[in-house]
Amino acid sequence: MKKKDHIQQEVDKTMRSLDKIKKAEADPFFYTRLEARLETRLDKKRERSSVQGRWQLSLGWAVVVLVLINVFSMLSYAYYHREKGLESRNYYLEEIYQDYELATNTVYEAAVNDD
Amino acid sequence: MRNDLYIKSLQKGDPATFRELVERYKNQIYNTCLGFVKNQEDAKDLAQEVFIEAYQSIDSFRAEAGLSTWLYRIAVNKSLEHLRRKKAKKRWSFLQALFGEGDEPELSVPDDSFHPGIALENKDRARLLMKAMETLPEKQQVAFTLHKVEGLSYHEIAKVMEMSLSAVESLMFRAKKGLQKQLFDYYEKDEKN
Repeated sequence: MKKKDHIQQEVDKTMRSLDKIKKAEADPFFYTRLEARLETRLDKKRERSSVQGRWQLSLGWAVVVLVLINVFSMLSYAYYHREKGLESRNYYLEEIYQDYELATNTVYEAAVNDD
Repeated sequence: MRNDLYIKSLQKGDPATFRELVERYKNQIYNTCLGFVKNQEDAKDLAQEVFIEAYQSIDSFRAEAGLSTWLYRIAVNKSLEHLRRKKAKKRWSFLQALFGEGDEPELSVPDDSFHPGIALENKDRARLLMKAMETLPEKQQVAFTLHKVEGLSYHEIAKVMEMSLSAVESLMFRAKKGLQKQLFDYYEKDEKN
């Protein structure tokens, strides 16, 4: 019992050990160091934004160039196939004319037709 | 300067106003951080980080809570983050030393002086108490530290922790009970040795 009382007394004393604690104070150069740290942090942020900005601009230009290349390719493809298409059409028309003798090809044939 | 003008001036990034804020609250913030981390160098670093965060996030400051409440909140969060990182490092070191030497006592007292505001005759007891505080659940630790080290009233603690007064009273009651039990076990073991 005495032992427990003694232990409890020690516990109570320890629980009270922070009762009269004096508040600690920051050192006099606190603001100077803070200012320097803040400046470094803001510089790093600005640098990151600038690098990021450059990357974004480069990426933007790369996308524009790619789009232009694609548009040019599509237009070239369309133009080429249109030309090819016309050529084929003319070729097939020729074939049909010849098959059905629709075209007058020679002077002799024209003379025969006149008769 | 009126409070709303003061805040507007801070939000505009006025250096003189920011300096005034730092000079006004630096001791409170430093003392609060020291109460949690128990290391003067770490507390200095954390206190600076608190003001940097305040500078960068002043736009999100809501005037319902006072400036000091807001700063205390940031200080508590930063301190708790620091303690969590430290605990994680300790766990890793413990795993590494798993096959090392025998058991350490549950409340081992650190050698370094951690709070200059404690009277010499109380230093050993205070170190022991602060070590025991580390074992409390987080919310109890916050409430107890803000009350004992920073001297905030339960009402002020309720504003910082964004809880009711009765919730803070309950936390303090449980914290004291938990600490008394820890200390009782420690002294009992000490007596046997």
